[in-house]
Amino acid sequence: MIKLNDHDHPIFGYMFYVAAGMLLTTLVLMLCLALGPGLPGHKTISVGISSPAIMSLRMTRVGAAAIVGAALALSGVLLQGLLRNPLADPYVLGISSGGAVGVMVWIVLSSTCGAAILANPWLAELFRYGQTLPALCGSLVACTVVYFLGQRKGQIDPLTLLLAGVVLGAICGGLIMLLQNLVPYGAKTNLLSYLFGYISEGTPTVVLWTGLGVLLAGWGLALNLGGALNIAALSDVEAVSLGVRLGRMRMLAFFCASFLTAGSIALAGPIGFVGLICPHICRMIFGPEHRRLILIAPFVGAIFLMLADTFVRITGSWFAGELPVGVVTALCGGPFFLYLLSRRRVWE
Amino acid sequence: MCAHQTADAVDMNMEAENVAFGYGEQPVLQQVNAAFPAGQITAILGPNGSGKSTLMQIMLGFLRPQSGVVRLGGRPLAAISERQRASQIAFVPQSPTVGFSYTVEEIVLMGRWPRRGADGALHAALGLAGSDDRAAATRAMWDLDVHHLARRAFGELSGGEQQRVTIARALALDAPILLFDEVTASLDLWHQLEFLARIADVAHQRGRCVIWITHDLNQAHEYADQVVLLNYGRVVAQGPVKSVLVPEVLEAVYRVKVDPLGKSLRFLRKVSE
Repeated sequence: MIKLNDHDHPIFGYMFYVAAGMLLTTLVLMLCLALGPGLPGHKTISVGISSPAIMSLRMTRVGAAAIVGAALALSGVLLQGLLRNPLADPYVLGISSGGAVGVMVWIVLSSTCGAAILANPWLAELFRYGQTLPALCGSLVACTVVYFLGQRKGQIDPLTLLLAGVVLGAICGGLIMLLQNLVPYGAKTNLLSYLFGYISEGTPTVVLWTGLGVLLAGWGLALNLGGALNIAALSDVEAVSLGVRLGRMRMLAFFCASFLTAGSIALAGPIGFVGLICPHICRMIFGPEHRRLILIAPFVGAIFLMLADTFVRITGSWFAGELPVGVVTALCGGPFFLYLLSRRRVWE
Repeated sequence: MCAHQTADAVDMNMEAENVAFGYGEQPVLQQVNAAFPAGQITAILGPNGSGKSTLMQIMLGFLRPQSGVVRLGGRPLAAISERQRASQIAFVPQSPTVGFSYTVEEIVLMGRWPRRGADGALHAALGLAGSDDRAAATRAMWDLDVHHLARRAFGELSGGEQQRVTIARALALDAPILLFDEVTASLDLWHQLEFLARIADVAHQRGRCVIWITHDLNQAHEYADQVVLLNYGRVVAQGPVKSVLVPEVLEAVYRVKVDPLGKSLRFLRKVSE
């Protein structure tokens, strides 16, 4: 475990981590901006500044990747701490399946009565945002349902929450298969690529800024909860005896993680492994202290997803079409995660 | 150490008044009245399932009594904020559990959580330990002989070492009330005696109220000042050690033959059913 000695002056230690994280993230952001096909779909990869139109498209996409990566990593830290389980990830509570059901409903609606919707200016305006709103609604409905199912004696109970999430995910899986039978064949590829996650140049600016706002608000709240999350790693009796209001803390951590996950699902679909691996890597390097993890993990998540998505952009012309970025995170992240597991001495 | 911490630390006592608790239909505690005075070690004794740990969880504010009231320094526990209550009562569980691989130092510092944020607004917002907290944690680690383990992961330690770390965590808080739930079971003999000497010092020299659940009647006989004896969720006897730990009472509650021999008690055989 490499650790800065931030015990005596934790604030300076934290400031160092933030400064280093911002510097590295900015460097990777610039690298990703500089790389890419000269024109979308072109085979030649240009390095350096391209035309303003292309730079603006790249900026949208790299920015979205950074926001989504940071949100997923932060959500992963919160859920792993909340569930006291290092194997939890942002999708373990069935939130992504809820988002997928939302998108599925939207695909069914638009393929069966698309013309009627487009005739109404209000609905047409909503549909301009594509899958964003349906995914957001589905995710939020799912996390509300899990929240109410995951309680015992009026408080969130980690084990009940986990079980409720897994069961809800299974139910949503059934719903997706059911709805799939209502969709014409052509629309099915839409869903398949959604299920692996995809970051688009076409993300509306207002959606990006909203995402950034949600991320920063969640980050602040999470930092405030970090100390209590540390104490909650003890048994419930010990945590309560130390004055932690467990019910309130778990509710806040749950909603914070859920909003971050729902937001990133709305922006990019369920991209796997970022929320599982980034907290893990940070914990192995910097130790389990949650405030430190909460500060560092979002930078690692942003960097990881920006690099993965840039790889997708560059290789788009080599394949029949661009790969869903979730394929890259799974293929890079999965083996790396197994490698980390095999090296670990003590099961946390 | 700040002056106000010492000032509010002395002469704090706890009382249970008509406390009742049950899980569903099954009563666990009934009409428990008990006093835990400052400056004394009070042992809570009783056979398995007699309600000792439940009483302790009620006194910690983890469980709410179905009727009756627990008072801390004369005030009902329910009327005291979580943070204030936590800074007055330090607790050591029977078997400490910690998820994730925190270091010993981090675990001991957690004991200072109720007093967090003394070093300024940013410390308060993040719940960070200040210099007082680190000094208290370091002293507690020296006291419990775990200072050399400070940077080790808690999960890698032996059961007895983990128990000592948890005791250090409770002592670091420097609270007026200390609750120990069967902590000597995993300690070796030397550390058991060391622990008992330390709680005797904390109670008798520094006026703290020590509440100690144990199954070791010999140790209770030797170190406790008074005893609360529970059986089937009721207080069967309480008072000074010499009046409660007598063969007639113990034989009835524990179903063993007691042979008082000098200062200690000796247990010979089960009473035939």
